[in-house]
Amino acid sequence: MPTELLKGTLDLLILRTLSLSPNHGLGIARRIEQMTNRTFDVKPGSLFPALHRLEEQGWVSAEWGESEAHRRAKFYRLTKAGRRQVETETANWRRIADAMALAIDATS
Amino acid sequence: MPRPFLSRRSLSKTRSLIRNLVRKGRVECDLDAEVRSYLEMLVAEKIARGLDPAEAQRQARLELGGVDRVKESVREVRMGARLESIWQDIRYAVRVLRKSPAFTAVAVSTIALGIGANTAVFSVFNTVLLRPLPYENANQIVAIWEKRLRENWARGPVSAPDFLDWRGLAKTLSSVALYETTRLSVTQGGEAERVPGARVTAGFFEALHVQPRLGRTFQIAEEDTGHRQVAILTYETWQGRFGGDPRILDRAVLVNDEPFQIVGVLPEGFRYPFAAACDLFVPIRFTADQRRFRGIHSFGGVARVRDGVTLRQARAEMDVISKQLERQNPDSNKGHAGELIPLHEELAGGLKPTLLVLLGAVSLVILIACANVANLLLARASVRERRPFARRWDAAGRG
Repeated sequence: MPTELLKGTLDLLILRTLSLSPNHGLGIARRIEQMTNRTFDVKPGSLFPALHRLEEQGWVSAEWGESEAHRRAKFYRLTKAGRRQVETETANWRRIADAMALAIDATS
Repeated sequence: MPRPFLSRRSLSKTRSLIRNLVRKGRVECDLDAEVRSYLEMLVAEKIARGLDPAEAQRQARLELGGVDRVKESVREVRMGARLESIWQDIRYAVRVLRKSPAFTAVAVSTIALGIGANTAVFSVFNTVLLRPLPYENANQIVAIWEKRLRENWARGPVSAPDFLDWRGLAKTLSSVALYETTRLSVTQGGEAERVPGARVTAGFFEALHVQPRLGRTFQIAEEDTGHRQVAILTYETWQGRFGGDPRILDRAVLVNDEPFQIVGVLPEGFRYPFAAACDLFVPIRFTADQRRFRGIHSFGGVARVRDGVTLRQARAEMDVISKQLERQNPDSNKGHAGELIPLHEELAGGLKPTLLVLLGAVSLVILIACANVANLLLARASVRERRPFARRWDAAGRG
């Protein structure tokens, strides 16, 4: 059952996807679904704003290229600042996840 | 780790801001193409999974949730990010400036001085050099001087006989006239007063393309000493000195103890180009000597270049006429030539180099002011370096 993404998690998921390789919008969406075993369903309505927000912040850059199926597509790649951001946000997320796990374990 | 003056992030922010502002249409196109390419890929994906094209199209559109809605939400994000970052910069600036009033005072006054000096000089520059003269097709008006090669005098006054010949011969000039700025004694109610005035020949107001508000301008016959004395008032003189008398054209004014019939009133706001003020115009009346002797130079000249004639053509014709006069009057006119100078250049020409130098100087002043403020900022940057890293990280995280 696909779930709605928590606010803030999509940015991290996009950044992590792009840390593997540059990708276009649909590629990123599919990759995220794959990586999370289809737990998350990435809709264009949230994917595009997120991508552009990340671009505004200078964490990703975009340029036009050709997809594997020889279609024109806009490819996003991580910038240097983006790589640093992946690390900080990942660490942040780990802390939260661990804390949540601890809290849930302690009360169950 | 010191925060660089222009971080990569702020550079890329600036770049994207410029892209958004300058090439708005391009950004829109780009966004449109991006969403469309996404949609096409989605359709292709669905077809590959075995759906027929129409169904794939339908499902893809459903999944996308509307091209325009997606685009709109992207626009909102971009706008929001921009406003947020501008607002953040402003807040940061205000906070920092408030914390150090001395620095703020020095920076503000340095830049204020630079801007003030620039504004002052530029407003003079604008009035004198940039703003057009207040005459119709002012670029066709030329000042005429008599160049004297022997005396190395580029702008000598004009003699009456030369003027009369120019007026008779020049085909490229429509109204050739002389003027002489002077002070005239006007007597009213038994009180004599010296007022700024000018003597001009017929054609003077035509050269400037000025239509009188009342009455007429001067005629050639009035340049003769035998003609009765006439005068033209400015609108302001008419309103002030003569109380706007509607029957002003029936009145005479005592100028230099002689009655002058008023024949015309100039339009409101007319500016005499050759002096700061001029209340009254009377014709130049050529004396017999002035008409005879080419050696008496006493007037300034002004003319209008005919429509469709270039300054170069008018100058060429003037050279031809001058050569002819030189041949006919070798004694008085050897090395003399009529010189046409655009009125704009004539009036501002002398000031131009000075003003340009001044403008250059104040531009340097503001550059120096900016450099000083930059120095101050650099000096402060070393203070900022000592701030805890965590704070900067926090500020960046909120961006």
